[in-house]
Amino acid sequence: MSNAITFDEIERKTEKTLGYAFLAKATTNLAVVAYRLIELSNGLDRLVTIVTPEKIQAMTPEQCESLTIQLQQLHRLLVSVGKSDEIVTLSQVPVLGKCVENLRGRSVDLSDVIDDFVLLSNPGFQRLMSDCSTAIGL
Amino acid sequence: MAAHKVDSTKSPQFKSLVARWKKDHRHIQDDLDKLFEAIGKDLHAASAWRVQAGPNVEVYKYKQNGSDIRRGARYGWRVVALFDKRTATLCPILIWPKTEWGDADNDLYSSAIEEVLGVLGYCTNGGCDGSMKTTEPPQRSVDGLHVKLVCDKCTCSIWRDQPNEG
Repeated sequence: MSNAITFDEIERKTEKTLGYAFLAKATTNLAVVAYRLIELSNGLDRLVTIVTPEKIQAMTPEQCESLTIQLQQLHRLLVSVGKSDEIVTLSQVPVLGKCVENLRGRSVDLSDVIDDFVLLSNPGFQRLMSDCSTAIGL
Repeated sequence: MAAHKVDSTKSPQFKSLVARWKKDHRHIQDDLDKLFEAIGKDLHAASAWRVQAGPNVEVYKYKQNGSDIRRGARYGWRVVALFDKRTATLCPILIWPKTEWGDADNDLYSSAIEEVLGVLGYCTNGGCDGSMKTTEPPQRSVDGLHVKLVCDKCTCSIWRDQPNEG
């Protein structure tokens, strides 16, 4: 009977344990990233839902302009995050790919809200709307 | 909600824009037919968003899948329509693909609106509210593919693609 263990076996077992530890750490990190992306998408979803046209119309032009700038800055950040190498790499991981796509979609929804802010205060667009109304007899 | 109808033939601007986008999006008419069918049944279909409320007229914005873009309604067409409450008629007036105006950047909006104004024959020379008209007799480029347009107010001129006959 022998309880002896060779150095090679110790080394192999240590490497295996270390490998599992790294895998567990990486899995935890991916789960955290997925959770953060979902949280971010949900936050954007709530933001897009509360900025209704009625609220836009109730704002003063100064408030509108200031909020537009803030939303545009947020949108720019989201677009740059969505296009970053890290996110592009993460999007290839099956579960994360869906989360990244959701985030990109929410960012498009946000740009739709910004469209309304910018277009309604744009003189060229107002002129267009007014002429279109006249052309169809409204 | 009371029955309403969709009249996509009323706005000359809408027709011009559809013709403009048709160059790059061959299936635009199919997409629009689907949209009109959906909003003909329900004013709030196609992710309708009431952009502006009013006593008689309301402005709606719709999202429609673009068959040539193939990325779903979110990245597809945006259609702005006026809803006349008195006659219960919805008239689409403007259309653009979201992929062209996706950056939500002020410069992009300005150039996009300028492009739309240009397509519709407006003068886009800083603050001028004139219209671009073809010269009499029409002046054509050497290759015959462009015609010269001159503003009826500020007299600035541009060369534009020769419109398709018929």
